[in-house]
Order: sequence, then C-alpha cells, then structure tokens
Amino acid sequence: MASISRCSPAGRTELRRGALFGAALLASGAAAAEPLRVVDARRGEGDVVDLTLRFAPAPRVIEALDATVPLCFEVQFSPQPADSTRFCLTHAPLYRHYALYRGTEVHRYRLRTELFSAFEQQRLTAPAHVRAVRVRLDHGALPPPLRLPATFQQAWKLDTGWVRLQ
Amino acid sequence: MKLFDSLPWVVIAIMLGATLLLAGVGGNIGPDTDVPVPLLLGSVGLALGILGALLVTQVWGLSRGIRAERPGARLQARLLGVLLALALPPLLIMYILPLRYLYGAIDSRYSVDVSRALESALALGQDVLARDQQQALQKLDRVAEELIFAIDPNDALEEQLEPQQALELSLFERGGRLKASASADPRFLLPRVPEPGLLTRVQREDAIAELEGSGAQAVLLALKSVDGGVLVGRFAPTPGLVERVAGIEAEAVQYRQLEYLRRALKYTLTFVLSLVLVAGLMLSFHFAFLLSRRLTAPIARLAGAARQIAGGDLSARVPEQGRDELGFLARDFNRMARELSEARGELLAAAQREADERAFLELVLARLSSGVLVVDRQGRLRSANASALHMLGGELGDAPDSGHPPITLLARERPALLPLFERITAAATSPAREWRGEIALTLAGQQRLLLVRTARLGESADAALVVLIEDQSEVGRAQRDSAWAEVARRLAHEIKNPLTPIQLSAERLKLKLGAQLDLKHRELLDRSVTTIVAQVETLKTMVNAFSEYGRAPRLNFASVDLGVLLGELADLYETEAVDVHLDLPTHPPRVRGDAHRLRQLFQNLIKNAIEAVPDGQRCQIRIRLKAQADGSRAWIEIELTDNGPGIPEALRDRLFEPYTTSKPKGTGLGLAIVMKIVEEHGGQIQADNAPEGGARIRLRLPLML
Repeated sequence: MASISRCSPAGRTELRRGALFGAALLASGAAAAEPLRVVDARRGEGDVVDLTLRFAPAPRVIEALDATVPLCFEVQFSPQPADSTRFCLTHAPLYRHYALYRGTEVHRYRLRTELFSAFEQQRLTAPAHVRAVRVRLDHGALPPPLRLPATFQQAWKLDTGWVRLQ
Repeated sequence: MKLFDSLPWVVIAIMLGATLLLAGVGGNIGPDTDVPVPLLLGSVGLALGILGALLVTQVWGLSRGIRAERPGARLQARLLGVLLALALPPLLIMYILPLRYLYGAIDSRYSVDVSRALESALALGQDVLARDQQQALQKLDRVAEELIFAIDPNDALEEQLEPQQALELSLFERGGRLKASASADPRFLLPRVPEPGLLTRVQREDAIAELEGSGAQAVLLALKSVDGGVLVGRFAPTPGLVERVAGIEAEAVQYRQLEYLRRALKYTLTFVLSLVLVAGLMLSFHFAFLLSRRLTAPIARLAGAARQIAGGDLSARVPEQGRDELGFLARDFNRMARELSEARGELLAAAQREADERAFLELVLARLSSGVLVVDRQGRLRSANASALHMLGGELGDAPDSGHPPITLLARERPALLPLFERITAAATSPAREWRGEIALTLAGQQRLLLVRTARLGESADAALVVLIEDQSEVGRAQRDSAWAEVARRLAHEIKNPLTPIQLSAERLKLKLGAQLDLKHRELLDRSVTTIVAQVETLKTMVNAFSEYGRAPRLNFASVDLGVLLGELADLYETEAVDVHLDLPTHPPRVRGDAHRLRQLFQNLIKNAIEAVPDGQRCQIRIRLKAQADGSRAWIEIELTDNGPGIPEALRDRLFEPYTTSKPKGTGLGLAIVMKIVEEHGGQIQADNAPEGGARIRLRLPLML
C-alpha cells in the first residue's frame, strides 16, 4: 500500500494495467483448463438455441472413449422444460468410426476430431421461457467400475455449469 | 443413554450397508443397485463423521479422567492400548490379503494373448467387411458407368439390379432430392434416404461403403459421387458374415473395456476395502473402549472407594457384582470398610465418653472450693482448677495456653510459691503415697495458711500426683469472725439492758435533787447527769453497732444495678470537700444481692475513705467497675481508691477484723461489716495500697447472668 501511495499517476496506471492483464491471464488459464465449457449459447429464431461448446477432454477420458466406453452428456435447461436432450459419444472399432447419438439420430465420423467438432456445434430446441443451459457428463451412464473414480477424479468432472442464454 | 449406546451400531450398519452397495456399484462384488454414488458416499461420510465424533468424545473423556486422576482412568487407557495393539494386526491382514487377492483376480481376467487374439480377430473381421464393402463399391462403379449412357436413369438402375446383385439402387441429386431408383424388394418401392452426414461425406470422399443395420437386417450401403448427384446402392453382405463379425466386435469391445476398467476396478475395490478397514478400526476402538471400561470399572470403583476411606469417609462401599475374583475383592473390601467404620464408631464413642467424663471432672473441680493441682510423672503441672489458681494468686506459667510447664520452672517464675512447689517436688520423689501438712505463704502482701494434701494416682513411684489445697487463713478468719459476732451479740445484749435504767436513774436524780441543791451543786449535778446520759448514748451507739455486726441478717436478694446504686451514693456524698469519681462500663452489670446491705457496704467504704483523709485536704475517691471471668465463674470487680495515707503495714493482715482501726474515733466495725456483707453475697475482698498512694479496696461479687 505504501509503495502505491508513493507512485506517480503514470505508475499507478501501469500497475492497474498489469493487474488487469494478470487477472485476464488467470481467467483465460482457468477457462482453458476446463475440459468442457460453453463458448456461446445464443437463442435463434423461434425455439432454436445455438450452442457452441469447447470440448478438450483429458487423455484419460479419450482413452476411455477409444476403449469403447460411451460418454453420455445431458443437456439441462433452466427453467426445466418437459423433455431433455442427451448426446452420446461412442466408438465402434469394427467399423473404425466414432458415432454421435442424439436421441435416435446417429452421426458417424472417421476421426475423433470430427466427432468432437460435431459435438461442439449443436442446434437445440428449447421453449422461450428457458433462460440458461448446462451440459454435463452423466456419471450414471458410465460403466459401474468407473463411477466411483469419476466422482473423485478431476478428469471426469465434465460440466459446463449454468450458462445464461444470449 | 440407550440411544447413545445403540448409536454406534446404527452408524456401523449404515456404513457397512452403504459400503456394500458401493462395492456392488463399482466392484461387481455386491448387490446390483442404481443408488447414486454421491448418495452412498454421503451416507458413508456421515456415518464416519458420527462414529469419529463418538470416538473423539470417548478419548477426550478418558484423557480428562487421566488429568483429573479419576480412579481407573490410567488403567483403562493402558488396557485400551493393549486391546488396540491386539486388534490392529488382524485388521491389517484382513485388509491387505483380500486386496492382493482381488488385484490378482482382476489381473487374471485380462490376458495379453487373449487381447492380441481378439484384436487379430477384429482386424480379420474388418478386412472381410472391407472386402465386401470394396465389392459393393465396385458394383456401384459398374452401375455408375451404365448410367453415363442411359437415357432413363430409372430404367438403367432397374436393369442393373440383377447383374450387380443389388437390393436397391437410387440416384440423388446434390441437394438430396431423389432422381431415380430401383428396388429388388417389392416392400421398398420408395428408396431409403441415407443419413445426411453420409451424403455430405461422399461428396468429400468420392465413395463410401458401410454396414447399415445390424444382425439379419444388416445390408452393405455404398455411396458414390457421380455427375450431378450421389449414387446409392444397398447390397446383401456375405451370408453369416455380419453375425460373425458382430460377435467378434462384441468380444473385442468387452475385452477393451475390461482392460481399460481394470484400473478403475482396483481403485473402487481399494476404496471400499479401505472404508471397511476404517470402519473396522473404529469399531475395534469402540469395542476396546467399552471392554476396557467394563473391565476396569470394578477396579476403578474399588480405587475410588479406597480413596474415600483414606480421606476419612468410611461409608464408601462398592457394588458386589459377579462371582469372580473382583466380586470376592469387592465383598472383602466392603467387609473391611464396615469393620473399620464400626471400630471407628466405637473409638469415637469411647473418646466422647472420656471427653464427657473429663468435662464432668473439670466441672466438679472448677466448682470445688478447694484447690486441686495435678502433676504428671515428669514433674509437669497438668491441671489446676479455678480455686487453686485463685488461692495461688492467678495463672501458673507465662500464659494460660503455655502447655504443661514443669514445676521447677514455675518455682523460678513464682518465688512466692516456692515452699508449695518444694513440698510438691518432695512428695513426688517420696516413696510415701500421701502427705498432709500446712504451708504458709505470703501472697500479694497477705499471709496465707494453706492446708496441703498430696496423693499419688497409682501404685508406681512415678505415677501422677494430685495436690489438694485448702486455704486455712480464710477458715481461720471465718472462725474468728464468727467468734467476734457471738461476742458482739452477747456484749450488746449484756450491756444494752442496763443502759436505759442508768440513763433514767441519772435523769431522775437530776429531777429530784436539782431543786434541793444550791446553785453550785446543782451545776455539778447537771454536768454529771449530762455526761452520764451522753456516755450512755455513746454506749448505746456502740452496742447497736455490735448488735448489727452480731446478728444474722435476713437478706432479700434481687437483681441490683450497681451503676445506679453507686451513682446515688456518689450524689449523696459528693461535696466541696469530697470528690467521688465513677468509672463505669457503658452497660453496668447487675448482681444478685440485697440492695440495702450492698448500699451499707459501699456507704461504709466511702465513709471510711472520707474519714481516712486528713482534715483540710480534699478527699478524692475513685470507684471503677470491671467484669471478670475466672474459670467457669463470672465476676464484677469493684475497685475503690482514695488519696488518704493508705493502710498501715501493721493493720493490713487484720484490716477486716473487728476493732481494727487507725482512727482515734469509731467502733472499728465498719470494714468488718463490709467483709461480712461481701461474704453474705459470696464475694471476695482484699485491701492494699495503690501504687500511686492511698488505700485500695478490691472486692468481687458474682455476676448475675
């Protein structure tokens, strides 16, 4: 405090800039460290909601997907609408492709990056009264032996938290 | 208390149940359940928290007991440590061995060879499937070539169904609209549109072949980008291929998952077994605590009761439970405490009896008019009653509480008593058991004649000695007083009777002969008769005084306020020549006495003081009252001093005897009457000269309580 009070106005401005830069760096670092987050959640025409995700799972999760462990994500809205949306990411080694299930709808991809890219761009429908959205990994859909470690291990905490719709 | 006791059981049941479900969820070694893992973990955490709090409470209570030195606390702590040390190794073995076994079991389910074989089988399946897909794409190529020259694409597709063994052929524009189609199966008149992603992908990859559907319904779907659209064909796969390849894939998938989940399975089982270990440790601690408390409780009770008894509480008892050694010990302890209590009760009763007897004896001794001294075998004065102290002129020794002073020391402190103490010492060393004799002492300037008797309390030569003292001087004086009273009474009687005839005869002589005589002889007769009458009056006065002294008065005892009485007398006698100063306490005490006789007592003393002061000198009389306690008796001491010449040494010993006076006039009965009145009231009187000069009379009257 004493050193700040002795600073010139220019010095104080530099300090303030430095503090802001540091805070931004920390915030960006924290955001980058999150394996699943909402980049943009925007309401479109009518009931359409365009959701842009950033999905960068830990190697342990990718390893599980390649070992044919299905990763099922639940999209929740607030206030809660009558129906919810569910995505499942799977791998079929025989056919050498990845699949993205959205209800009864299936999309197959040769590469995992294509699967993740497809997962990151979603067009959903939600009633007009919906204000926030959240996407999280459904631990209950994991194979039973994986449920307890997934409760404790950070790699499996794939949850965007509630994000307000734009 | 019941709830508190059953709480650990409830908590352990919850914990084990939740742990079992957790094992079922994650380890496939328990009941299958859909209970969420966080709920199970929360239950376990809550149970652990409650049990932990319970254990902390137990440890805290025990440590507090140790700090407070509660009986049995240290023993319980040691026993608890031993029990825990015994329980720990089996628990660790029960933890490590199952863990190693389960790790081995999990690892045994996975084999590198099997994994490699399954991967090879999977690769083979992929190759076979790829061959079929390749064949489907080749067929589709041929259809595409035919389409180039076809006029009607529908006809072209229809013609190619059979040669290419296609189930369905269709041509879509780039926008996805159907342009032409043909189907070998009449159920599918309209072609099935591939998923949009495939139509998009084929434009990027030129040709795609995939297995569509599963099981018997599976078909080979081939897509090829052609001019103006996408050619789609569905072909039947090699019979049985799809089922076999799907079987290989299922096994491969299961094995891959198994391999991946090995680590998670170990993690879960380690967690569950660790929970069981923690629960076991806590349960062991709880049971060890209960067991140690139960085992040490009888000993703790015994130690507590022993401490109570050591502190003087002999009512302490312990419950007599069980038929083991501790039960026997408790019974023996109670019997010992009971006997101890009874013995002490008897001892206390005996001591009380002895104290009562001693008090009674002391009371008797205190009331005795004879003095009693007790000297022990070491020559120490053990006891002296109030009369002895009074006779010997006050306390013996420096202070009343100076213990038991030796006689030799007392002899040095009180040389006036030396003859008595020498006699006592001689009696103590003499073989004779008793001695009797008279000893003359001079105490406070007065000659005292004491009759002393000694007797040994026991047969042995060194037994304690009891000394009985009687003041013979008081007895002698009383005898003399009695004799004087008798003489005075007889004298008064013998003299008083003739006085009146003498007086009457003299007055008659004067009356009969006065007129017959001449003047000279008549004057002689008048002077003689007057002298006779005057002397007769003097004799009458003297006779009345003797009569007063000699007669036994009829006393009327009542409560007398000495302050009031002395105040009235001071007012009566105070003149210009006489000054009477009263020094009274705030609340002057009352005595039980005859007010008339007491008034006469103080009048005689005051008159005596006034007459003692030479003419022309102002008489100053000072009267002081002071309450005193002497043993068990309470007194009021009245001290009267004057400023006269004091009491001549020759008269001091017989001052209160009749006919003792230093004045030329007077009967000499004033102080004798004073002494008589004092004795009538059970009091004591003595006279000496004050240190500042003048006579000092000190008398004591019993105080009215």
